[in-house]
Amino acid sequence: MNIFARGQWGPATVALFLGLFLFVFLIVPVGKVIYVAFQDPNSGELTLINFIDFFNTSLFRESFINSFYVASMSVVLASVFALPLAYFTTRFNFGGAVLIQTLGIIPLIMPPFVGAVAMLLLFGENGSVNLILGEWFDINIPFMEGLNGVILVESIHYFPFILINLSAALNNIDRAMEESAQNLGSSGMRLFRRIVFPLAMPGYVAGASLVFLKVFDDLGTPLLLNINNMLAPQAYLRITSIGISDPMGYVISVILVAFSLLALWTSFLAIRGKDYATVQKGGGGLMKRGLRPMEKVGCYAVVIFILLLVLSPHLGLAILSFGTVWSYSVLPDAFTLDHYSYVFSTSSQFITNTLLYAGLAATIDVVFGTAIAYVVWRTKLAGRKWLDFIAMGAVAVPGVVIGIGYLRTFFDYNVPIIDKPLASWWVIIVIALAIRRLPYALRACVAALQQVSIILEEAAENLGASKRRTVSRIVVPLMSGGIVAGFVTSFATASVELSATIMLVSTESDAPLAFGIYEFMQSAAGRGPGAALGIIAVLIVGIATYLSHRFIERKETERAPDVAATAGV
Amino acid sequence: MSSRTAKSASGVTIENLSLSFGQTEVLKGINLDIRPGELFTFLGPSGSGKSTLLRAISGFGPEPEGRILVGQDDVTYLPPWQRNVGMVFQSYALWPHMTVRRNVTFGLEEQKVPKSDIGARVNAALKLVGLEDLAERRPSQLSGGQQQRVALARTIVVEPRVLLLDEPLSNLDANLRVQMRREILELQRKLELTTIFVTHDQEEANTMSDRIAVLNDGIIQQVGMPLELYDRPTNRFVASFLGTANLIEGTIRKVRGKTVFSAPDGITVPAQGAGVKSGQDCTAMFRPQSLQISARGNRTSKGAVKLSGTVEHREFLGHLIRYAVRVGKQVLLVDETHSSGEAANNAGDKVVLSLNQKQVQFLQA
Repeated sequence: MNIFARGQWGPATVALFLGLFLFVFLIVPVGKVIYVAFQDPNSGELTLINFIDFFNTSLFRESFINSFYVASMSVVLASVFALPLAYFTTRFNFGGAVLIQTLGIIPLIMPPFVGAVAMLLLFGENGSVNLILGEWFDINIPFMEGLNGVILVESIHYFPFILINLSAALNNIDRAMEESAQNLGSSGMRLFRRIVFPLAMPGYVAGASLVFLKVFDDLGTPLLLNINNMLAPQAYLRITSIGISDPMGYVISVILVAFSLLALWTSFLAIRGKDYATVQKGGGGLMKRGLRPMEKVGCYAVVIFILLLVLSPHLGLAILSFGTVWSYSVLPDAFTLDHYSYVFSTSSQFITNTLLYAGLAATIDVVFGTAIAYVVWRTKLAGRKWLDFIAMGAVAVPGVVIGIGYLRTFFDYNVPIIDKPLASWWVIIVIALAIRRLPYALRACVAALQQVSIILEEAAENLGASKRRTVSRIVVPLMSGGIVAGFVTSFATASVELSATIMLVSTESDAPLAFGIYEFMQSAAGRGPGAALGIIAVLIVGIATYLSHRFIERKETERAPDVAATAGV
Repeated sequence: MSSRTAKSASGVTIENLSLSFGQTEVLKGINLDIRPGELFTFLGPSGSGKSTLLRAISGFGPEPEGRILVGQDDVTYLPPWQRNVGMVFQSYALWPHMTVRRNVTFGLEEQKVPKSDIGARVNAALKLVGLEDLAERRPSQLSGGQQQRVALARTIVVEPRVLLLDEPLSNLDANLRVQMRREILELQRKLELTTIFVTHDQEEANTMSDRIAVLNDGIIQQVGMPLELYDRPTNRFVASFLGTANLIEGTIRKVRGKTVFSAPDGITVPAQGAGVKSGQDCTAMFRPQSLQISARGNRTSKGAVKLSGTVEHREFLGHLIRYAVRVGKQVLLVDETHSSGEAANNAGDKVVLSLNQKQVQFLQA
């Protein structure tokens, strides 16, 4: 079809604008970073000398190995947390399965670095757990020692990715798949090993590679635990201490992007052509079976232990925010509300900034997400797939890389009127957040659009509605559940983002919550107020998530019978 | 392979089986005796309990009350994997992460068959269903009919004592359905394997089955050979579920020493020897093709019951023409075989229907 065929003018203009936005704020900065990494710092010629320097420096080699080790071990530990929870709740008749699944996702609504300090106080060398262990058994386990601490904090934070994907995969296996194996004489662990797990494998790999990617790129947690010999902290430290022209920060950025792409590629390979997890006709979810009393006790013991562990950062943070002095003791000496009144009187700008930035970023994300989804799935514009592809590409770009790229690209560009470099204007933080969270919102919008049968649009057009009217009166209202889900995902994750913002915040008055928490947590005296801010962040995210769930639920019951029946035609 | 299977062919006995999903009773006191080697069909509308009954035999679903015997063995409390009843699932349930060969091999491995025997048995099973050449394919690369054959091979290869087929043809298109119907039947005869077949399609049931159990509402309505069920249904449900039936409610009376059936609006049919007591309410059942239609005033065959009526409308069905004729307060369906060119009666025409009383069944329910 001709690119400017009838009715395509509107979408073409929108697509052009979206493409321009992505080009300026994603492709150019990332391209700049990659270009600089291959550029001789003195002569400006293209060269591999920076990479050779990188691998000739023992600190960088060590950082590389450490990052890889931490990411891999975090996947292992996260799997240990996620597997029993996913398996027990999908496979057995288990009281409180919904509660377990919900509690299992809570770790995601707090940035990992926020919990890190609380984890030090609970699991550190002189933390509550080791004090108790020392008293009772005279042992001290180095949970938080060096890289162990990063692994523990990261795996507790990111294991929900595996839990969600694996549970979904397990739930979607056609019941007949398992029954036919039983019919042929298979049961128990053999059945799980030969049929159930292989069928759930794509879901597991998708979750696991996401965990790897996230941990590999994370900046806040190692910084807060004072572990500097990893890749992301090195990139940050080089740029902030030596300067924007130091090539090592760029080399590390390229390596981070390469590994992120590798993780995504792995996940893509795992899922491609293996869409087993669709329930076939006449099937249902995995058959659930009852548990014998002893089995039940065992299952609950495992589940409660895991939940206590994964919720410990929140518990620790809550105690810290209400505690006076907490040092060399199992619990703080006394409890107080001082930290909260302190942050409200001195640091309320962190909260308002966060609501403003995350709110704006999430709005941009759902508007662009809806537009991209529509252009890609409902028009025939040439190159429309690229829009989707590039927007999703942001997943593979770590926050540090966006931060460095923006500093390098937009520092020379002065915004008119306010006469400040674009790189140090607060709006750039909003754009960085929007670009980084766009993939989440986009996936939610695409999923929502695919639920809307094209017949419903055709019916509107048949009755005389133009494309624009059809979109605003039929498509967007029907997508509203998905759009809200996308907004909340963007909002929640953007409001606790640190790795890009930490590089782009130019003055304290422009700083969001995550940055404020990070600043507070630097000193022992600031931990209390920092924790109070952390709890406020958790509450903001928690409330937003809860409200959206209620909204989506209501939408779904409203449109359940008729629209669902025609969905996916 | 076939000889071994024949020797081990077992019947299935179901004694007073009841089953509930929570508060809902789905099967109510089922008794059945399925003979070794026969092809037995559970026929019924959706929700009748036929699939639940099949799943109970294979050990899936909630625990039933009553007993299920395969051969002489009580399997009621055995888990599915110890029953050795082969089930072909409606969705085929082929494991997508395994090739055709791995799918078929699976059961033999689970039953600890010596490795040396497995290869030959898998090849024989694949050959039996004509899929030797596709053994290394994945299920997703096969057509619906081929997937069906893999599912059959996978089940047959373990030499089950009974073969259970859960609506195996429902996912195939019409032409393939007829072909697979024949293939399954051929296979069943060759292996002399006791087979239970679940369907809601009366044509499938009639063409394939040795015997049929008609289920409705969790109760067995009637068991019999296909022809028997069609000609001599014992209740209204069976009569109308198998084919089209005219059903007239009325009473058996003695009129001038003769036993007759009479309906409130005046239709009267002799009922000697019908085995129904005088004074009893009952339903007269006859098929549309048991009525002959002719224009009023034409000569009609002697000894038949005559009913005068008016044609309300007609449907052309190809091989026959179906008239709806109003007789008193009743509307009766009448089939007339059609061959080209013959004039048909029109709506509004006054006609006479003649009915051979031997074609009438009197149903007590």
